[in-house]
Amino acid sequence: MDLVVEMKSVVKRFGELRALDGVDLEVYPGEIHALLGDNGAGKSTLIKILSGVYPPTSGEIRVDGRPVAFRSPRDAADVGIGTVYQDLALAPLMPVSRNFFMGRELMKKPELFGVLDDARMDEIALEQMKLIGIDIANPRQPVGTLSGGQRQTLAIARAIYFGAHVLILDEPTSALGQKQQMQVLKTIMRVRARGNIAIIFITHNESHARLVADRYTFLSLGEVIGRGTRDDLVQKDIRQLMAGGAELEDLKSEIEALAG
Amino acid sequence: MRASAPGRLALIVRTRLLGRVETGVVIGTLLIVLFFVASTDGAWLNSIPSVLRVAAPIGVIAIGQALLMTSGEVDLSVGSVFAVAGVVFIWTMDSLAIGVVPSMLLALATACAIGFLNGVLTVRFHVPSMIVTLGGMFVYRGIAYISTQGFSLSIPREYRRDLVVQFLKDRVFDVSVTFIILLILTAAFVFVLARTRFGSHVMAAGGEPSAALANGVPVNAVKTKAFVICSGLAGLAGIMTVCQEGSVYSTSGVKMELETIAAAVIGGCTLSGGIGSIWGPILGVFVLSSLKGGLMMMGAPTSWYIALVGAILIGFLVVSKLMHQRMGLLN
Repeated sequence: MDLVVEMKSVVKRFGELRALDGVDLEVYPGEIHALLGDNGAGKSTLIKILSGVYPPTSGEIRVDGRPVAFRSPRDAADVGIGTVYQDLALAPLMPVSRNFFMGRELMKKPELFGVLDDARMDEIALEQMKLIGIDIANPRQPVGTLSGGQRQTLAIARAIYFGAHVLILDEPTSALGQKQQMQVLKTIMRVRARGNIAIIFITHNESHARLVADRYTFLSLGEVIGRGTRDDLVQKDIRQLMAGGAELEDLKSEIEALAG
Repeated sequence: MRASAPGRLALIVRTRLLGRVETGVVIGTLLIVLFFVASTDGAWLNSIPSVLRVAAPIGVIAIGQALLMTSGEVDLSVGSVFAVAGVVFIWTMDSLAIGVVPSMLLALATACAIGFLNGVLTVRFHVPSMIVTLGGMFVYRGIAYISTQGFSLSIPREYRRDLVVQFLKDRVFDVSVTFIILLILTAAFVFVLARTRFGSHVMAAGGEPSAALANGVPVNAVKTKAFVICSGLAGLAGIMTVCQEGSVYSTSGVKMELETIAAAVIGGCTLSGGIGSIWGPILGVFVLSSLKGGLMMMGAPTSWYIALVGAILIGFLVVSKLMHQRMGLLN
């Protein structure tokens, strides 16, 4: 199978700090690739490089087999990499469909006058959100009235509609309640079911990764400390990898001591 | 999940009727009309044409102020630009003798240029528009003082009978032409804000500038355009008033920035932007202007007016904030 995204020996330095120290990442088409790691592991740096926010210090990136060197997020979007950040880039006071088409509005002909085609925008926004599982009643309701999970779906549906075939989701579940988290995971699985979209799912919650990921890469302090397929992920004790095993056990016994 | 029928009805009532940003000003307008009609035994109704005539130029500026505030900025220099446009209009008629309409266009262009400067200073140098336009307010007021030598300038005698000047002074069925211009502009900008790409960008730029930028909305250009429109409308109001009154004074337009901002806030705009209305602020202007006229009719000292404007403004803010909290639309 040809890789959709291939990152080889990617290094990113900020002055003295080595945020990424020779990281490899292989993403297969139509798969969910979980990028795991604790805070400060380098997950954010890695996806910011992949979405064109800043260039790597060294290393190679290929998208659909072709080497790329992004100078801006626009470059990354042009080859089909869509990033949904935690803030989702939504305007809560504006209607759902206006948010869906923000900056890329559909207009009635002649477009010279800039008159919006709200009916078509409503229709497409609802249809696209429905495709990945959210059926909202009113496309004109302000985004501020949607639940966290519905907002996440809106941002994902928007990225896909505007041509993303690699979807980067930055901690999509971290700011949500339990039920909303599951809704977002369901959305992610529905995107996967479409078959033509690869998802890079950034999370520090290994149980979420376990539920949806086909493959995973584990980062710690800027290096890959584990990688594998779904089966490996289920067997290994990820929680141990997550916070450096022994350290976590120490913390646990310290907490128990304080409680006793 | 589709909401049940009563749920949907509740949603419609909430968002379409009660949750509108203009709800407060509609209620306020009804209350003030009832109050003045009742307390003057209906005599107040006869003063409406003159209220509308006084309200017209302030309303024209309030349209611009409302649009600009929706984009997240504010213009304190509108009153000074109002005066400067009048000065430029009369001065070009007088000194350049290029005729009435070219003089108007030159005055309008000057106002638009000032707006462009306000916009560029705000977006390029990241200076808050409140500060940029506060500076502008003093600079252009100074220019108005100097060019009127502290008094006034009048339309040169030979132009007073000019058709365009007469037209702007005229009435149609007891309604002043300037008020009809206000109505046309209001309708046009209601459409612009609600139905055009520019209007949508104004909302986005004011509401969530980083999100707008991330989605490719040219936030700086959108805000600069709003500044140009706001200042241009202040210039237009200045020209209209010069035609009506025949003169511009060194103090023309003083406090207009406060009146227009107050009207905009009463009508549903906020200083933080992202939410706004065009017709709400026009009703706000009507409320404030009828207050001015009504107080005079009731024999109250006019100095009460500005104090009442302040009190009403604060009252409106508190009530609408409470209302929106209960509607769950704002935090």
